[in-house]
Amino acid sequence: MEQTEYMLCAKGMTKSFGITRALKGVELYLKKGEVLGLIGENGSGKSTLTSIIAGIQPADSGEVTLCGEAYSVKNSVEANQKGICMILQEKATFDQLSVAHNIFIGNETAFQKGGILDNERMYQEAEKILAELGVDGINPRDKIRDRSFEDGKLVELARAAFLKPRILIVDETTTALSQNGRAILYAMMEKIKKNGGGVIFISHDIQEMMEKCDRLTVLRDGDYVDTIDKPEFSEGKIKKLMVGREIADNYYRGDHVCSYEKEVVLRFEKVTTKHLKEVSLELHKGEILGFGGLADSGMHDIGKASFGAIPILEGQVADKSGEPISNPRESMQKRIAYIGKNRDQESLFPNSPIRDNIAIASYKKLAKSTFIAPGKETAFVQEWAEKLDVKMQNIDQYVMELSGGNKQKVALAKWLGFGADIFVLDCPTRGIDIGVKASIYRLMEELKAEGKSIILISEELPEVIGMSDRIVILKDGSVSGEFERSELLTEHTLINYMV
Amino acid sequence: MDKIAKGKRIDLKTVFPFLGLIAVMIFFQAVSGGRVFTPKNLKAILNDSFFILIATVAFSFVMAVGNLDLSMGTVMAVSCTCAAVAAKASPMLAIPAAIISGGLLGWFNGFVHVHMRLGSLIGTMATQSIFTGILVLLLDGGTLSAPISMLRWGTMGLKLTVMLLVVLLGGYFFNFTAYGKSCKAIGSSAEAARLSGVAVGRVKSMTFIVLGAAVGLLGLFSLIRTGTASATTGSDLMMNVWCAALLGGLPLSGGAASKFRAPIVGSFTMSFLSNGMTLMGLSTHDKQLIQGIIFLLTIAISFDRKNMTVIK
Amino acid sequence: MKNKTMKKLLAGMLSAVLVLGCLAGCGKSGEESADTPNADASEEAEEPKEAPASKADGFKIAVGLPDSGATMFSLMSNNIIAMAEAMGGTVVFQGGVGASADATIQFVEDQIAAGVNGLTISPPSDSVLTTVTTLCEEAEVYWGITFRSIQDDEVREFVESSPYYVGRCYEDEEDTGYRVMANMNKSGVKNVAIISMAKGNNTTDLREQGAQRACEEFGMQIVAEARDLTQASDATNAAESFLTAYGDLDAIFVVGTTGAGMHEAVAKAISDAGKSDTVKLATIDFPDSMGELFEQGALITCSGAPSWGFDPFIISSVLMNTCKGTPISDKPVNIAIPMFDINEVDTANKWLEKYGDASNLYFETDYISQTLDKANNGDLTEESLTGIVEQFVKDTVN
Repeated sequence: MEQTEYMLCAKGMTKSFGITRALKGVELYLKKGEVLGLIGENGSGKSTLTSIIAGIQPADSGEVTLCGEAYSVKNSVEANQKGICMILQEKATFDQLSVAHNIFIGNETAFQKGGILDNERMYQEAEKILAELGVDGINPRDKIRDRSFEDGKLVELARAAFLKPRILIVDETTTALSQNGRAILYAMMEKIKKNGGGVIFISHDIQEMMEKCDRLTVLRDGDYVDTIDKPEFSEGKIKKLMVGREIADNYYRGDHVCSYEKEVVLRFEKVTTKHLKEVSLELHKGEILGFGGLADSGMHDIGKASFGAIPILEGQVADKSGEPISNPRESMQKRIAYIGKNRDQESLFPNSPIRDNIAIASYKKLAKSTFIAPGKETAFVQEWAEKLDVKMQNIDQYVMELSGGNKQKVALAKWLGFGADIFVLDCPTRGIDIGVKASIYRLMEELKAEGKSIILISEELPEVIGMSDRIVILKDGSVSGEFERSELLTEHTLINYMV
Repeated sequence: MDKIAKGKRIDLKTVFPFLGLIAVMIFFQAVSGGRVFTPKNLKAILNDSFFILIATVAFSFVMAVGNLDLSMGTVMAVSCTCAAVAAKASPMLAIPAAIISGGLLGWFNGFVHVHMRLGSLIGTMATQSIFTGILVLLLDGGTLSAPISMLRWGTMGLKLTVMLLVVLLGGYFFNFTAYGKSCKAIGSSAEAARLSGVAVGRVKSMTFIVLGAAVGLLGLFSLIRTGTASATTGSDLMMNVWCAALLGGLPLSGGAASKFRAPIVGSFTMSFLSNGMTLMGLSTHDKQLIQGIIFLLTIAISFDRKNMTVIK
Repeated sequence: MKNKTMKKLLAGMLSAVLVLGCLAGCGKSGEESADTPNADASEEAEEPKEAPASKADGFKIAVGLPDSGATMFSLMSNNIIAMAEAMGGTVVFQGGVGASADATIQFVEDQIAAGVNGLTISPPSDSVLTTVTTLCEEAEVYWGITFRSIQDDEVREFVESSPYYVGRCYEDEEDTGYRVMANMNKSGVKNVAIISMAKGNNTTDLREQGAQRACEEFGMQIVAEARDLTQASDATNAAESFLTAYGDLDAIFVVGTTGAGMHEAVAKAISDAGKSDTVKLATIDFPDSMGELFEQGALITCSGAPSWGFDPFIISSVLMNTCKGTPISDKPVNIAIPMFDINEVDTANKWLEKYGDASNLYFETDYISQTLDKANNGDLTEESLTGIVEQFVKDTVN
């Protein structure tokens, strides 16, 4: 490997967290002017590798050179100074500060005159940067907490753009962005490419990776597997490298038949919430009802309203016998389960062991009058953790130590153990790797076969199309289209009803 | 799977409170010339730990949920006063008077926190002032005394029985019931608890009511012990309970790491510490200084920086 | 890993601080708590200590009063220590005991556990006395009362029938309260605000009774009261409230308080409000700053015992004799300490010369051994002791 071609070389990167060996001698080479994709199942080590390069944590061993010189930084500020910036999937902005202040955070000295911050100039500069990026509609004076999650991400892009990085690392950011947001990000990546910089791009969306990347480096379980060039890209090949075995191309449902029973198990009667306007619909027994829409379409409210988790301003959400649902406990009595989009805040207790996470919904079931026998609880939790194949040390391990996919499995185990009949799933496979995704789809099919009903809300259209019996598209809080499962249904069709 | 890592890791954090207790016992036994473990002294320690233990056990539920209660000392004083007032009519009435008044004040704390949505820190600061007002009105600048017959009620047997009952009941509810587990769940993440079907508001209210009633009971015992209900009754209860809770290793933010052994170990550590310092002849100022230092250090060591949520 | 090492280090530090803190505390109170085995630690102290452990020879008593904070406290403790040494025993002090019923009982329990032979308390109310009597009887510990009378007849009967109760020392509070008001009246004071202890506190109850008597006789009025103040800032707040609410206030009477610096705080509040000419200060017990306050014209009269610490000193002498096995009386003593008035700066300064210095002794060590120790002075009785007390007071005023 000639050194001059590559702007960033990482060799022998090794990192362990206790007994977990996240990286075992991994290598990565980034050329000037290219977008290098980094792909692998969860636990493969991609985020660990990029966070080391971005200065967030040190490697246990390994060498990195940047443009021929040895590269070693103590923190992300130093990495920024050397021209390396990273954008993550999670939120990295400060709610209480304005957009402009977030953009220039850490670099306020550029705007100081004798110790006093020149806010006006900050706002002006911020405007410029946002405009350059192609972002409009964000006022630099707005506080982040008043803007959406996506806007926050765009602000992070602006922050990175301000630093004019030579290398931009995009770590699973696109999953959380709308089409618009992604367009802006891609444009920024192009710009960096053109200026002779490089981009390391991580995403779970294989299609997206194939489109945007020039080369792809594949990791698996902390090991370096291979790097392939664009001409060799194919979904099947990539998946095989990632997982090490053949996975059927089509991992959504095998059939293309829209099927469900007559019985209506959940009904929306002219429901109005903060984001919904007089929405009426029905969920049938044994049906997978999919929802698609833009971020502000109100589809997430469908999920919350189904579970009684948000106030219903008008109308009502009713169960099969017509009784209204107004809080989570009532929903659970009607055997409804809910897994929200924000896993860590809504469906999980990261700071508690797996045991508590899985048992929490089932105490009534496990208790004999008031006594919950520890043995019974252990057996229950063990059973469901195993059924869902949660990769853990033991059930007393804290959930925050688990990977995203396993966390989701814990949430599912909770509700399966509870024995729900209706499952409301909001973005259930967000940020989860292929292997676990496939197992979740299999699970959904099993539930359907057992006569359970599922509401599937997702920002991934292929998933909605692939799994649902019926699809409802929402736009600005109202239903704009309903579709039945069909082989001929395309993303393009649905998007027309969304925007 | 990894069977190797299955054995319970000996975490310094878990063991530290026990070490603290043993260290304190050994240190003072040595320094006082063996006076710590004499029957008379153990009796004094038991009398002291009676109050701290019961209050801390009840308080551990409030802490597990992630809340605090600044008003407990005042609640004790009010209950003590109500008991004294009731005792004038009939000594037996003092018992329900103390417990019910404590429970009512606790209910009010719950109301302020859950329905008026005031954080527990600010909320109980406010209720403390309100309760002090009630106390002053009831006492009218003076003190109340208990009928002499009541003073004989405070036998060692009764106290030991009550302590044991409280520990057993507390432990049972904390570890083996949905209630205790829900408390810890709320402390871990109130929103996730709500979305898992926990009646968050009700559970939180209950923790305040139970603490109020427990402290009310202590008000009764204070009356029996000193024969007096005054404005200063229970004035150092809160500080002692906080210290005991922290020395025992209860995390300030509550949640899953709250263990029931914490209030037990912590209370005894506090009692041995306090008693030991007296045996050494330290003045109250010295005692307070040392308590303060220990308080600070314990927080520094045990503060879970990973879970730096503000007190709810 | 790093985290665990940090914790081990902090644990070590904590233990070290525990030890250091206790040693430091020992060093400071090493003078008074000469009985603890930590004599090894504070070996540098020069006091000629008797055998450290009280078990061998020598009695051990505990006094429920503070030994520092104001000169009058240190004066008391120095004198009692001197007497204890002269009589062959040791003494410890504990502040905050009279603050609440809890504190009193806690003190008694703790000291019994610490192995004292006798203790004195200044109880906040009569109601604790029954419990104290029972506790001391069970433990076979002698005890006495300072500064208080027992108002409740039932309680008094109960207490005085206990063989372990040695008696009390007190001042004629009712009369003192009366005299202060009468003296103020001579200067034309009519409307008075008082700072006092909680109702039920025997001492201040009696003083207020006397004050009330004076009000009826002289047509004065007590317009406001503040109770149970513990620190100077409380006194400032109370004074400011009085001054704002009562435009025709003539004086603030500090009837009784446990805090330090209270009088100075009140005087300052008055002068800050610009009312030094119209609102005066009076008090019972002589404050440290009495001289200055008189000079400023802020203080117009105060009444007190020759030295605040004299009362506990006397009852301690009775207690020590009993603990030694040579009691001066076979029934509880009731020794009254006469109070006297100081109304102007010269007398104040004379008094301050004598008792403004904490190291001044009431009696020489020889005198104590020869006269106050029943073992050496077989003639010592309650009456003769009372005579000594009265003479002492007479000598002060000259």
